[in-house]
Amino acid sequence: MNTDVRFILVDDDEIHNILHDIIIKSILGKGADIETFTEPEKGLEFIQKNYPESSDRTVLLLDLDMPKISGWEFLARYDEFSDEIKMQISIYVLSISLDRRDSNKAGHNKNVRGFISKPLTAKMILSIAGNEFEN
Amino acid sequence: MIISVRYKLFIFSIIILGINVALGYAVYNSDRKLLDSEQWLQHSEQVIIQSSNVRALGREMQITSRDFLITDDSVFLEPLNHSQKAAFGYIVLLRQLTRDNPAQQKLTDSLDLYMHKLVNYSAKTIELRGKQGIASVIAYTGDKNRKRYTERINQIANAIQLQEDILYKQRKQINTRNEAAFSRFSLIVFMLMAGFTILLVIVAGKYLYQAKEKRKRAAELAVANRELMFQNKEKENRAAELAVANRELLFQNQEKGRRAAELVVANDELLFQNQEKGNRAAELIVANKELLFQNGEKGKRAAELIIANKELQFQNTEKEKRAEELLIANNELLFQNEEKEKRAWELLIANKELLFQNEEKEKRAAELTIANQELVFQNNEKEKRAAELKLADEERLKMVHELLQRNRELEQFAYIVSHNLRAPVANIIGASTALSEMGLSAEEKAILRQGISASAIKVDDVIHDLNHILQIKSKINETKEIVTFSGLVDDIKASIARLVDQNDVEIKYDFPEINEFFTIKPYLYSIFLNLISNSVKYRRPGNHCVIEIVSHLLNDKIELTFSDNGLGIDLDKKGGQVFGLYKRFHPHIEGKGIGLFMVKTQVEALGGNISLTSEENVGTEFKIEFGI
Repeated sequence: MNTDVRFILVDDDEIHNILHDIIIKSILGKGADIETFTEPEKGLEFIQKNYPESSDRTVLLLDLDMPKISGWEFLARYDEFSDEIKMQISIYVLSISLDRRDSNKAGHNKNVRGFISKPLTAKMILSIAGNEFEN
Repeated sequence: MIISVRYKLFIFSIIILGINVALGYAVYNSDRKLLDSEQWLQHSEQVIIQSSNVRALGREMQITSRDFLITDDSVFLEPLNHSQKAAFGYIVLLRQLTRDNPAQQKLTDSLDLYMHKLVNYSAKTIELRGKQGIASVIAYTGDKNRKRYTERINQIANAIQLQEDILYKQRKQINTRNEAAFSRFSLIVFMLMAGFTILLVIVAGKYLYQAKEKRKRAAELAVANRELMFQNKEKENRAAELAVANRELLFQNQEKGRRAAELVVANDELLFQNQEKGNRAAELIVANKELLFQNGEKGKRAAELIIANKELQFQNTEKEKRAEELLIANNELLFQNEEKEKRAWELLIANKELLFQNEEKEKRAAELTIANQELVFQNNEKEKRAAELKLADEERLKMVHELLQRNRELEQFAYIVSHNLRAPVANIIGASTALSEMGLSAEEKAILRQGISASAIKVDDVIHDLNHILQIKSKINETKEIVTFSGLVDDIKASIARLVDQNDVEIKYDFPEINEFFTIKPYLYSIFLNLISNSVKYRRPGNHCVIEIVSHLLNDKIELTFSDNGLGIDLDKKGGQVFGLYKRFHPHIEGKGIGLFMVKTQVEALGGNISLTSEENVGTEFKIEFGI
């Protein structure tokens, strides 16, 4: 399996990030490239700083319900980034929400590749990985 | 038997007085005896002297009378007469002195007799001398009678003397005895008197000393009594205090009992609530399943719609068949027109009949007019009822609107709660799956286990919050009381004093227009506490934090304003979420996002409303309005 995929995890809940990190590493191996952010601004800053120079394929798992900057606001600011950056990053919304309106809204955002309902499982990571390699 | 000292002294004095009287009488008696015996002694002496006088006078009379006889000189007559007189005087005296002694009286009588004989003899001789001369006298005196008389007188006088001498000696003896007795008595009396006096002095001294002692004791007793009285009073005070303290203790015991009972009830309540929480969690799981089931149901409905379309096509073909049937029906109508002409004839006849009936109708019309008036009245009534119904309807609409609003809030609430429950639940599911299915290192397992327990605590927190919120919504029937705003702020200031002191916070308040509100105190307290502690929490670092609370009275409303100079909120972006449950705007500051939600819930529970204005890095102002 190609381990060149980088994962960026943006979730205000530290425990979620740790769990997701462990699950991803169980699929991609201990050496998997994973960046975690509990503050969305820091995630945006990281992207601004490291892209588009980095040539890695990147999957960004984004939580919706966060204080100060919500997932939607994150997406709005992300939309202002250059197309080159957006080409390199696939965003998946990873939310606890059961509300159809949330999944519909995510589906209608052109920068969002998919809506995943928590809890994240190894199977979901596999299907995301598969999805990425198809494209 | 106890006899007082005074009484003893009195009896003692009486006894002494008695003895003194008796002794006095004895001394007096002895003295009189002595005097008597002395008198008798004198008498005896006198008798001896007088008798010797009488004897001497007798001799003198013999001599003088002889001298005269011899000389016939009258010179000698005068002493003779004188002696005679004196002799008789002495004899009278003797008789008097010896009147108690018959023997001596007898002797005195015979002395008197011989003295008379002698005098008479002398007188005879003197007479003879004068008349016949000396010779006759010598003749006459030859019988020697004079000498016999004189000797006789001498003898008697001597006998008297002798007798008296014996008596004198006896009396002297008695007198000496009496004297001795008197001096003995005197000595005894003196000694007794001296003894009594000393005794009396001792007793009196003792009595005086005792009296003095008594007075001292009395004074001491008075002091002691006063001391006792004071101590008694003190004891009474203590007793009263003890009684009060006992009552207080009793009351506290009762209070403890009540508290214990309340605690037992509260424990039962908690147990019940825990069970309820379990039930709710189970219900939530059931509800989730229900949702899944409903999704399946929707798929079924789509299949049903396809069937319905097919049904519509079938109905169109049916309609064409009906058009053909209508043509047949037209033919039928033509036939029926012919029939109608026949009926016209019949109508003419019927018209006549109608004329008659019209007359009848006019009569009825009059009756109807009356009935109409009745109806008009009834209509008015109905309109009134309609207006009332309209009002009720409006009321109902309002209620429906409120219910819808409440329903929307509840939906939102349920959504938020389920979301916040789901997050940790998802975490637990994810982590436990990872733990059981993946080959993880011990370190990773430990981290995940920590994550699971942290999530479980979060679930519990959410359920706890939920319970708290539901309590506010359900317990609006709590007792109301008069609450003063200033008192409330002072209480809160005291309870968060440490926080205030540590963080350079100043809380000012001003309630001149209205300072009281009849309401549920714990709610208002919670509202004040949440808003004040919010202002402290979200103060601007490095800035002197000032919180101002002011009340105003507007017509029928109380307006409370809480303003601070803290971080503030960007209302353009976040305005709609300020009072939302689990909404937070300052992630770097600890908090749960429940405070302002609670404030809004409680304000609304008290029938008020809350709004805010805020500017980032300037401050925030909350405005609460309560109807009076």
